[in-house]
Amino acid sequence: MTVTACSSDSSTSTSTDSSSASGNPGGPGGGGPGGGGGGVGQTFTAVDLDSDGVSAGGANTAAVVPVVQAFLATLDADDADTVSYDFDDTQARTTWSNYPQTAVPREGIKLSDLSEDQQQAALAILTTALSTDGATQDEDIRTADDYLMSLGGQGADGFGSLVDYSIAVYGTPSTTAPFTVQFGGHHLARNLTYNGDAISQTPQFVGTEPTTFTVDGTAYEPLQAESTALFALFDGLTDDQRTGAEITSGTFDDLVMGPGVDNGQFPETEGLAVSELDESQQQLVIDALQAYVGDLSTEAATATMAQYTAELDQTTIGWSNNTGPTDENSYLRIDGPSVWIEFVNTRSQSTPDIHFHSVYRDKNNDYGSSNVSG
Amino acid sequence: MTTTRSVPRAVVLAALVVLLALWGLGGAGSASAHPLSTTAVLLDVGDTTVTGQLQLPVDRLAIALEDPDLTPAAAVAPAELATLRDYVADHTAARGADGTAWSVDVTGGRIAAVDGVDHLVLDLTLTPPVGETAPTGLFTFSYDAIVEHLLSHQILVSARPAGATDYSTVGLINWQDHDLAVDGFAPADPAPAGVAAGFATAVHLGIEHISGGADHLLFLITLLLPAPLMAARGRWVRRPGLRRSSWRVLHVVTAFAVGHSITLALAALGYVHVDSRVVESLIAVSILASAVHAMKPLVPGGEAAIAAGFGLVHGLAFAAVIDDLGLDRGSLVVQLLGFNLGIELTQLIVVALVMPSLLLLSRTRLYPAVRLTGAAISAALALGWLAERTGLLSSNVLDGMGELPVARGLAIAGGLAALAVVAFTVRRWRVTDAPVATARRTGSTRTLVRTP
Repeated sequence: MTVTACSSDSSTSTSTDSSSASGNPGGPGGGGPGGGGGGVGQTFTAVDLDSDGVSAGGANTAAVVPVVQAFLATLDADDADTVSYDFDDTQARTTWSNYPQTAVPREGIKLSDLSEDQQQAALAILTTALSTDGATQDEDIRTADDYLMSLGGQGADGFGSLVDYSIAVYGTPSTTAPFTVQFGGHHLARNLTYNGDAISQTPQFVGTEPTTFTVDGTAYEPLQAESTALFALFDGLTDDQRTGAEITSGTFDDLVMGPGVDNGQFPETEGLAVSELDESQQQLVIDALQAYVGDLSTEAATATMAQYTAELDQTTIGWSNNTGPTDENSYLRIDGPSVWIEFVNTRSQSTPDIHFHSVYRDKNNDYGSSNVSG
Repeated sequence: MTTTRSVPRAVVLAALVVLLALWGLGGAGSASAHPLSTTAVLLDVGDTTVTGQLQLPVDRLAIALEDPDLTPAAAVAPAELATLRDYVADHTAARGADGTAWSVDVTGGRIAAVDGVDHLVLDLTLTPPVGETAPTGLFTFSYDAIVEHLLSHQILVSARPAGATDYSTVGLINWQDHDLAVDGFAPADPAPAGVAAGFATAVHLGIEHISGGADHLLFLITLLLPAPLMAARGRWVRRPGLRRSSWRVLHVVTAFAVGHSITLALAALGYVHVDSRVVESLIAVSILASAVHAMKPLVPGGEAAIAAGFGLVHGLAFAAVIDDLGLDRGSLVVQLLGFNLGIELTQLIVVALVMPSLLLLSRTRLYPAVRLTGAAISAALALGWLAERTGLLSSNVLDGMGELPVARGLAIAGGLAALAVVAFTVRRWRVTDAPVATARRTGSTRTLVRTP
């Protein structure tokens, strides 16, 4: 079964409206699906996921289980049912996006549908499961949606730090059996899958529009850690290294392993081997990895970083189009035996400048599964 | 669920409904903060061929072709358009269930704004080899224009049986997989029944379209208002004889039919394409012209000419509907005939419902008032539509009038008939068959009055 995410008006714009007075019902200008009506065009298909992902371990499952249980206990029966899914509901588990909920509805329940106490209980899951950096980043990304909404740019209706963010729980929280907490909305997807000591925090999507902004005198830069490390890495390449790192198979205006691409098929490795970099450059690769991996609670993040660092010699970096933080379609990639990170400067119709989209996947542990396949 | 929670939900729901309604009405207001940068492929699966439409965002095409100068205007320049058609055709393929390759034909090429983003719209025809049985039930559609180089691009493929109303999503083509199985969209009926059913559908669509499209009927009726009269010294005066009035009606209806049939055929066959906004604006102008003509003769005896001339414009609007049917080339002529027949039938029914009342009323002293009132209403509606369609007004307060329900139409016709009968029954309102000038002199001689 496949669910297609389209903006809500697509069904009407594709139908032949014979009662139109204009005599031109739904011509090409009226828009077909996809091109018209807002063809967001993200589809989510049930995929075959197991719970044998290769995890470096270190999960704080014992701490997470009670806070998830506590959150569920704040809900009435209807809402608890809305939040809870079978662990093997893989179509729902793979439903996340870089689009706002108005375009791609999320699973679970929206924060705006919860009381303040219930919201606190939901967010307590994140502060327990994630590091301070990770939980702060989520808050900042949500703040970006309030800010974007306040700008009132084209299509920025219906955003917001509450209305656009949802939480869902897959399976029963347990220290021995697998379960997933899914939290996300526009520009954020946290898929946290626990299985005893094993943990997966991928696919992880982070993004922000605008890239920097100020609210009530406080400056925000939700992807500061990720963008700073990555742009520094590519900015520091020698001319030869830069040439060697260029991805030549095609060009990019967004992610290729973004939402809906869950069949486990990654692009052919391209670019420059990290082993070709000097020690300080390699440290920038580690810093970049840490910016993503470090979102998780410390012990698990440390274990995963040890794994990725050990795999550094088999890891490559690549870029396409541009490498500057404000350049059009700057596209940066880290590709290892396990880790996959893409970062892109992409455009929207809401603000005049580029904004950031980024995805972190683990080829052997996405959704806590060893065999993501279509 | 607690009551404190259900109230905000109801409010949210209500707000959503209003939002959806606004989207439906305005057609604007995309919900996405991101560029709608996907390609849309719309396939109409027929009995013998698959036709379709490709909507490619021009800015993404420019990236994929590494041609920053590829603007919407440049894309449809003849030489560039030919190149782009070739490019898209080279990146499109279809195979039957048995693996045989189908021919690919990419034609057309125009720019259309889809949610504010300029798209190059191309027409596609996929044809299986001659003799292949049940060719279009299951086939593989392969496509990688743009995504062959712009690897993050996505192509949303939708399909419907030819003649059906709604498209269904088939799937998404991305950098990973350029092939998509298209299954279950073949028209339900086998070919011969399909043609008959297509014809019936087209007749039905024709009826539906014109009976729902008040602007076409309003043009015709307004033009027929002065049919029982004749122009004399720049004014309308009564014309003696039901027979001549009926001839006039027949001329006008026939002239309109001839006019719109010509452009409907030309446009449906792809020889003519006029921007729908221009067509719609011209239709409003046509109603305005016929309203002015009904007040004061613009072209003495020229109703047939007006009907034929503006019929050409109305035909272009009809063509937009038939374009939307997603016709097979093979059944196009049949469906064209059916669609046109539906339009003619409806027009004849409306004329049959309204004209006797007008003819009867024209034999009463009320007719100048009826004619001028009718013309004024038409003119007001036409001005409203014109303002809306040329963009002067963002929405038309008269828009509800554009969708004329059959029930309301019948009520109007019934009211007109009642008025005609009442007016004619009142003896002192009745007038003679003689022209006005004569009637004035003989008006007092009641014995001369005869029922026509």
